[in-house]
Amino acid sequence: MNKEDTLAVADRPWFEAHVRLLARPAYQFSLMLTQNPAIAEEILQEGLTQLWATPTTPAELVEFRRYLYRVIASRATDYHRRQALARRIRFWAPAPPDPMLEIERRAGDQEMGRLLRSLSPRERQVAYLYYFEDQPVDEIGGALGIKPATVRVLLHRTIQKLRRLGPELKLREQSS
Amino acid sequence: MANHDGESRLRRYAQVFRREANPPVNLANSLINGLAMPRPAARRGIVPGFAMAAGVLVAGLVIAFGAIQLHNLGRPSPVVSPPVSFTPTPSASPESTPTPTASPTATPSPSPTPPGAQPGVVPGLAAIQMFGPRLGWAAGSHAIYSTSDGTHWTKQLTSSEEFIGVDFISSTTGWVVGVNTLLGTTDGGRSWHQLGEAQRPIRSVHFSSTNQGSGIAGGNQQPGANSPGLAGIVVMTNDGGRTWRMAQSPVDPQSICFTDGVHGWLATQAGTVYRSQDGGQTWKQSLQMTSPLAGMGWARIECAAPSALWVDWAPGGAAAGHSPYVVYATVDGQHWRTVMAEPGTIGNELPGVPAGPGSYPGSFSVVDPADAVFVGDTPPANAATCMIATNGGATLKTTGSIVGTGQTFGAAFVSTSTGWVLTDDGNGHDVIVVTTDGGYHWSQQLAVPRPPTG
Repeated sequence: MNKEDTLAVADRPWFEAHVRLLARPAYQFSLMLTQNPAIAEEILQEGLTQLWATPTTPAELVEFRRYLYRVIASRATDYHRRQALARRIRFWAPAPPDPMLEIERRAGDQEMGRLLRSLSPRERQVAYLYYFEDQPVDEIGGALGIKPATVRVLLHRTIQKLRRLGPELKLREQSS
Repeated sequence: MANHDGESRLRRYAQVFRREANPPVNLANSLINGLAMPRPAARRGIVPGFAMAAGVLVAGLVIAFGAIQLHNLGRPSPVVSPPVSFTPTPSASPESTPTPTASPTATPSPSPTPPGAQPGVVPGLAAIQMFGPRLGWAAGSHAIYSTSDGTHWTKQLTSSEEFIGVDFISSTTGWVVGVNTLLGTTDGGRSWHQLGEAQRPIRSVHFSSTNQGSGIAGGNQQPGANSPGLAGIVVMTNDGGRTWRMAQSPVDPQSICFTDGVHGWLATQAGTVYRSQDGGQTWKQSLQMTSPLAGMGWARIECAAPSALWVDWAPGGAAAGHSPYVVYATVDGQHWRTVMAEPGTIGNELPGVPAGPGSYPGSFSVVDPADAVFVGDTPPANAATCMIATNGGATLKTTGSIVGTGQTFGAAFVSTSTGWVLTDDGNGHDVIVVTTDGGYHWSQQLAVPRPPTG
């Protein structure tokens, strides 16, 4: 079955357009959560496959993105959970996240990368969507399947954590 | 907004991240195409599970086989599944005999990254290539050696670099891959000059002419490891290695070779062999090998002719002194033969496939499209056994063994009777041993001290 067959069969021409539009930001979201390009791409691919296989996947772009991000976040969390288990009995050194190091080098801010990586998966999801994608709290809640109030709590906790880890950081509290 | 310095810093970081965290080329197309394909089991999900299983079983395995012995063998930790009993498989080939297509275009294949190498530990002799029965080059940790009579070896270059691959296309023109640098020569190695690097460190190269070459770069494994692991890339050069460009390829390439500027082969970590007939612009799947254990598979290929290829596929899952491998071969580019398999593990799942010569993948060298020689490592027996495959893999003959060693790092055979193998002498030296009778008898030619392990 080729691409044309697959996409034509279900009569969902908007799906490919959404994929093309969201591939880059969704990949970056996945990369921030996993810190591993190969895993990030795989999670994204699986997420899209899940959306493709779900008859009720929303056609509207904002809803589609929300749905996709939720799947990515969920799978990334699952990935971290498994990684945490693996670390306890690790027999080999973890692969160096070289693309991330390159980004930090170019940003001239390795400390920030370290701080972000020290956040829990959920905190990193919230911090990414808020600071990297400038999404409003309501939208973040929708994407992650949590209440906006919970998002605010997580943001507050994230900021506190970043301040604790990097005392020189002065971050704006979420105000609305 | 003095109070927001930290936020500015975070947003600056975010800006760079959005700009620099580039997805793979044609990600959208890849994703869309991926929707049409059944997804293999997710490697990210299985690797930790695999590790968990290993953790549960490790104590029993250590008791069974002795942790010290396993450690000394310098092999992947065989701690992932229950002990597997040795079950010899029938020696008859399960497939019809293909018609060999002898081709004069077979070129000496480069010695890939040493199969026995552990991450971060490059042997004193890690790669070898012979160009006829007299001319040859070997490279390893901190040195390049050569021979002009097939017997006596002299050091051509001393370096702080660790060399992991050799590729010569003539008696004068060749390349040596280091962990950090790529060197080239046009005078048989009397002088070596540094060439360019790709955007990620090059792990292996294969040249089809003085100018055209391809290689694998990057990957998430440490330099010197036996495979690039995941996220490697294909790189190509048209100027003899001075500059490299990233080329499109299937994901997670492990090994690549071209017999000329047009015909090439590539194997991936997922156990798929691809073929290109347009210089690497497009790749078509030619063979799906046995399923890899998630994230653990690696493959080595050696081109023998535009339509002939030999593949040594290790799907991962070392267990109790056995590391699965399966060898495939094609002489016409269309029909594949499952030549042999590790008998104690994956061989049990491939009834009718002949047993390979060792319990670890070992080394191999392609002589011509129809013939290749395999040296299988069996660390518990402290021996490496030679097996000659002829008639496209339809006929296998076990000859002799290199005794006193359980691991080999490379092989270079110029015929089914004469070949050189890199191994160790079990006494702290990496050595070159040679046979002139098809592996029945071996003699040592060069010994260099094994570099201290990190």
